[in-house]
Amino acid sequence: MEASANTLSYLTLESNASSATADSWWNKCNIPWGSIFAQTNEYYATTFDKQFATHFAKLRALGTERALWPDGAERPSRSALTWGYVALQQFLHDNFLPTRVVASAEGGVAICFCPRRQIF
Amino acid sequence: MSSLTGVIDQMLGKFSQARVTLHRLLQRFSSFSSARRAQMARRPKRIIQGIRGVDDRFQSGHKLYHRCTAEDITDDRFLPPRWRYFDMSVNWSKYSKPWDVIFDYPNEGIVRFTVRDLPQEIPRDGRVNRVKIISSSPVHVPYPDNYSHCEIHAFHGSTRVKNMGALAKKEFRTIMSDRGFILLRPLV
Repeated sequence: MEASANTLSYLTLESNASSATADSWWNKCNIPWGSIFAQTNEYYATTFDKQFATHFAKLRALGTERALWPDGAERPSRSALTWGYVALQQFLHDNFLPTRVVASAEGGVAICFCPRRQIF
Repeated sequence: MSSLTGVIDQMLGKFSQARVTLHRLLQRFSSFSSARRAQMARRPKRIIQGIRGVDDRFQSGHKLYHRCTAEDITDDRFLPPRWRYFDMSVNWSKYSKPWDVIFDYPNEGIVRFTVRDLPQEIPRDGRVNRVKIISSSPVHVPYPDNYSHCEIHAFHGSTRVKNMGALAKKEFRTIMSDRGFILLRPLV
């Protein structure tokens, strides 16, 4: 697992830092989203890894899909998306599966760990 | 809130949940119409403002209803980062039914909390650390087509504030997430 996680060096933060807009940054960004899902059929062999793949896909969608942002909230900033990506990579490395990845109410990205609530 | 009060509140919430679900089953929620007049005509009279003015007589047990989408909730919990900590829109139970809050959004869900659930004097260790102490309370902001509309405002003392410290924000969202009760799950 750890060896596989080490292969996930998708991100080149410095090269992306000077892009003009979030759109261009997101489109030109060096994160090979396709390869995460295309090359990694064997990598995402377990349910655990597939769940992580879902979180990566969700993070990717947060940058573009307005329906995922709370009412009246700004689009998640590119730094928030980048740091969200870095954090997810770390959680994958640590085998620590988040519950949800969502856009926050103030233009950020939130990675949530929620226990089930016990009633009565 | 004591544990007994909490359990009673949860039980009452379950009854309300059943009532709202039954309402959704028996009577399809009115959908949005492009014709404004027709839309107004179909709105329940209780939420049309008419000549009524602002009423700020909130009681601690009054319920406040906020609409939510599937993105906002996980299991039976409204996710903390999805709460808006200023000017959050809610409907007031004194002048509306729970399902009025999703009148124009029939596929969305309803989260309920009471006036006493709103965080007071946060952050909790703020006096020790000498940071700005924030309290939140509902303010009646009626709309012509939604008299029960209120906003949750944050105050420092008696002064309204538009922002709060990181710790206060975190506490606000966690408290609201713990106390919010999902009355109706969203369909989308």
